[in-house]
Amino acid sequence: MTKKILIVDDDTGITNNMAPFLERAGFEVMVATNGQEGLHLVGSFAPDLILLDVIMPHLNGREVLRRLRQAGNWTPIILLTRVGDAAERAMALEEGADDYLNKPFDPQELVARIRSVLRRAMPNKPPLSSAQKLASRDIILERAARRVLKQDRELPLTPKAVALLDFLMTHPEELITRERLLESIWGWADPVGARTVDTRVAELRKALGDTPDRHMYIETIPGEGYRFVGAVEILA
Amino acid sequence: MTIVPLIIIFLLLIIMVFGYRHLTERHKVQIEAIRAQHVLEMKQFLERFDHELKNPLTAMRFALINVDDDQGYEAAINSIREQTLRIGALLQNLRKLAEFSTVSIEQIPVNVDALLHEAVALAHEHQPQRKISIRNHATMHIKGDKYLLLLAIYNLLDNALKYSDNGIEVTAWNEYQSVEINVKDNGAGIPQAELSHVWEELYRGTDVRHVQGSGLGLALVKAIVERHGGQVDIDSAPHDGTTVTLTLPAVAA
Repeated sequence: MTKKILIVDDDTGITNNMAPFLERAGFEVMVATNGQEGLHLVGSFAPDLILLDVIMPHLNGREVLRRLRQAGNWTPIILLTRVGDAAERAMALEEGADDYLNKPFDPQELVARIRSVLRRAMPNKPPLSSAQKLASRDIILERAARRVLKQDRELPLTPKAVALLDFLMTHPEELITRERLLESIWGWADPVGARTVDTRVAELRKALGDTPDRHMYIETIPGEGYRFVGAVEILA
Repeated sequence: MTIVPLIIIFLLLIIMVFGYRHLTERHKVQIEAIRAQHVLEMKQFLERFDHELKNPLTAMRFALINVDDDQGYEAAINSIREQTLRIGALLQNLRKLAEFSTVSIEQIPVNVDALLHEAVALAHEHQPQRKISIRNHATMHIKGDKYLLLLAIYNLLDNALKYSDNGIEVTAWNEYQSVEINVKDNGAGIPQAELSHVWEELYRGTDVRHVQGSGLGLALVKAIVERHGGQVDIDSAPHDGTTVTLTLPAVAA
């Protein structure tokens, strides 16, 4: 079945090019040019996914996101942010976005993200990325406190390692490239950082108790990246 | 006589009032000077930013015209692609710069030897044939964020590779409570008059405009080193090469 995508962005330079591209990629597309119109179309068009710009006149993207989530609408949302600082990214996810992309982004990357969010989405349920606490096997991730407990004992992890684990646990069973992990921490990816990601993952694995021949949590996909393989659930 | 202390108090009051006015005047002059400096820096930044965007945009306008030409089609499309990447890289670097000045910096001991070898390995990925020698005498560990430190040293190596043809030397040693790292090339060097500007955002040396670069590499290095509580220094002589020295707070291994 063709998936329906609603683009909410006030810049016609973006929407005029993005809409036909997504149609060619096999989606049914509708465009709203501000937040108010976007909210209205969520009702009538019933999209499977919303691409939401953040800075818009009248009703900005963050407010649209908040209103939808408060009304119990869990349509998957990818935020298209223009400002990429770390605090903004964290806030976006806490408020219930499923993913975000920093402008300028690669069109192919957008399609890949749309597909993976659609795959991950559970109908009418909050995404893992908006949960306060996540659990997998014997570890618990307390997201707001940035703490990781293993069998009720706090693991001594650096803030960056916790951020990495957070990203992996909110994208279970998905191949995550080193570049994307890096981007989740810093907001960009570069060849220098790709190396340091490996060191962080090694630190994380050691703390979690993964060994080279037994990966209960994080699996390496040689030459590509990492995948969180433990089953993840939301803790109330 | 009770009049004497009253006179003294009166005189003191006069001195205080005049002194205060004098101080506020001086203060005002200082604030004004700082503001003027900010305005100048802002203007300089905008002029450079304008320049950095103008070139790729002009290139793209020409490419768009050439798209209609059968023979020039492919070159034109490639050019547009290249220019969008160029603008993207510029914006990404500016964002990095903004983020580095506010983001929290990890304070984890970083092994200098491993750091230098990793930075050199990264530089070699692009230019495997160039000789980069490491002489590490530092036994202390730098306190900081390994990714950012790696980025800083990589940027220095990248510059040295870009602006020189021969071997590059990376040296590190302990210095009191710090580790000093220097990257030395034997390229054309930087004119004395330009040396103080090289750390500024988007500054490009007059003799090296033909070399691709964003003008943000050294500004990023400076931002990273200063966030670590360290200092940067540059020394250069025409035809004798350039040496950049980073001084970074360190702890015993």
